[in-house]
Amino acid sequence: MDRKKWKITTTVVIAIAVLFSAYWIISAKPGAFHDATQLIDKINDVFPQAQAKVIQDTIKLDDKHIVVPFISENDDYGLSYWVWKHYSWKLVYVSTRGLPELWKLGNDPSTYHIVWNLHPDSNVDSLHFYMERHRGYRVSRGIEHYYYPKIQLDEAVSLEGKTYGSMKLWDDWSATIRELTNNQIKKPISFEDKSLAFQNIIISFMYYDRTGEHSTLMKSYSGRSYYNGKIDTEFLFFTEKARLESIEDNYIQVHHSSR
Amino acid sequence: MNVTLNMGIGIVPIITNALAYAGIAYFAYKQYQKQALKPSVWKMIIVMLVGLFSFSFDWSMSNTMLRFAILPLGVWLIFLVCRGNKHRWQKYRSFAWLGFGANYLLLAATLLSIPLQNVLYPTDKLSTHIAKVNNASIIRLHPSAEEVSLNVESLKEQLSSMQEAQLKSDELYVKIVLESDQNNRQEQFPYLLIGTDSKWGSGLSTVIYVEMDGKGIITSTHDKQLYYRFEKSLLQEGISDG
Repeated sequence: MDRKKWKITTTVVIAIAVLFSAYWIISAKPGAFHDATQLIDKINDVFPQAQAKVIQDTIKLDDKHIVVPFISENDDYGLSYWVWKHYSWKLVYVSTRGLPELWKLGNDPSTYHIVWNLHPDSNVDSLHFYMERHRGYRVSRGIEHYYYPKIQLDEAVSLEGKTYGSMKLWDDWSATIRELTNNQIKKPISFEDKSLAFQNIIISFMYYDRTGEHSTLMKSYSGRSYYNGKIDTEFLFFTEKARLESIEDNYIQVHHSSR
Repeated sequence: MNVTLNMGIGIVPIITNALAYAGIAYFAYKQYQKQALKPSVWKMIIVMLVGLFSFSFDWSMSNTMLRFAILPLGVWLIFLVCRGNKHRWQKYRSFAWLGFGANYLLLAATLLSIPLQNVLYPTDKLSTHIAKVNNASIIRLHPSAEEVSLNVESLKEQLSSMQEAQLKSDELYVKIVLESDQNNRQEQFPYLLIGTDSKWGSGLSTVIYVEMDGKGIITSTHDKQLYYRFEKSLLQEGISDG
């Protein structure tokens, strides 16, 4: 057989094999998740300061995103964030400071999740979340009026004795964010600021302890965190009752944490 | 995906840009016919694409970005590549400059799209902002909002008869903030109307707030707000499941 033919056939076969395996790797269904010992090893390998000791649970947010709450050697309650990528589960972010954070799994606000792991000494019974935009106005050229209504959406989650939990962003919240984002002026360059602050939206939280008191004092959360990959998260602000508008305790419906 | 499709891109810029590209293709064809020294077509296209590359400055006029090309960097690049070969430069010169000129055809398209957009989709007409309401519903944005839902029929009925009214945003703001302390504050526009479509092809995504009594709305684009009042409330008792 002539060599040229051989060369072409080999090249084609190799090309097909490469394409096929690339497709395989990219589209593969997420495989089994690590067990507790493997998780501890991985976390401490990626970020030794985390000193993970106990894995509390694994919370599956969707097929490709998992949050693992853990307790460290020096009694910090932290979270590790895992993403299914390139045919393996990757640890993308570790934090020993378990205060609520917003994890944006995708571009659409309906993929946003709030996750937390609060130290039991804080005695947290329920977490209360607020999405706000300040009231404002603008008058240009003396005649063109622009009014920004106050936005304040409230939701609450009962912790049910667990220190950790997750909550998919409520439908009203994600619809509101989507609506306000679409309304933004389009940038000529394909640069889009997805941060909530860019839409003047603030998501904040406060909590009630077991005595029903809403607490402003928290155990000092002076954790460390480490980014090990691409992830889009935002910290939630801590708020207090005095800052809120026409708020009655019975207004808030307490939801149950998704796990 | 379904979310991003209907927002942002209107039909007008698509048409004017298509015109501009057709114009560019036409000029390229003309030049190709005229020229004695014919270049290869795919090289000609690459030369035009490179020619497009320029140092430019952006100027934003009423929310439209206008791009003025100044230095023909792409043309210079092609000149450098063709250096030492006079024939080659002769062959491609016009196409490199045509690529640079394409910047101005695209600018003209943008300039054309502004008045066209204003004629086809006047932003001071309610029908531009709210064209379809079948899937509409409301979100309660503030604790002072009542437990109500949208009465779609009432919205449909009154769309054509809504009257534009004057909203003094500064007075409203001061009234709300001074009238009550933080913890008892009411919002005058505590509902968000969602699920409405703006006029087909307008590319507008309008945020619509509904007034406390259900008899007023604000339509709000990024640069302009309009306030409308009408007879019957858009709201009805009870929260719908849909």
